[in-house]
Amino acid sequence: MKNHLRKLRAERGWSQQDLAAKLEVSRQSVNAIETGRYDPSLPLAFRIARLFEMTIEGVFEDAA
Amino acid sequence: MGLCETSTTASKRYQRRTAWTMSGYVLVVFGTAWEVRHHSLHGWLLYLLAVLPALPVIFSVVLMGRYLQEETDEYLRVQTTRSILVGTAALLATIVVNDFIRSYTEASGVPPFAGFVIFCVAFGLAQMVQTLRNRSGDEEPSA
Repeated sequence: MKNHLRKLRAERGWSQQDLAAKLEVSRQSVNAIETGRYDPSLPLAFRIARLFEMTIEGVFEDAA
Repeated sequence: MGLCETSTTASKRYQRRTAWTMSGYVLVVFGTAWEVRHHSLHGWLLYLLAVLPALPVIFSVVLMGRYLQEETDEYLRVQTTRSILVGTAALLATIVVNDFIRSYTEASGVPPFAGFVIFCVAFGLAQMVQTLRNRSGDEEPSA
């Protein structure tokens, strides 16, 4: 699943570590989601969307 | 577990518990070996001593399960689960190949105690590969 996490994070000037701390996950998780190697669970996707004050669809793109 | 690279509370707890368990394992292995060598034990006591060193090893598998239960980071949980599957696959493949070799040939097969070592090596390699893959998308060096 494609996502705009890296772009959104860069716009706010956050490092991967900053974002990881805000989401209370490891930096590896942020990295894996950004590079598309891992699709987060629905609760984590909601947390990410809430943090960026967006909808889930605004952060993640449906590949289908 | 994703444990060398990342220090979540669960992974620290896992490392501490595993270190204690493995220390206990070393003590039990040397203790039982010494006991069996220096005393001519028979019957149930000998069986009990023979099984004793396996208990910390079994407990270390239980600790992996507890880590998966306690880890709150879902990606690290998935990563560790993948590694456990790789270790289990390597172990099962070894058992199947070993059984056929022993059935059809005169070979004695895989030496004793190799099973858990094979699991651990495959598990460790899977962890290492995933750790290296994690670094590929890094923007900043690991803390």
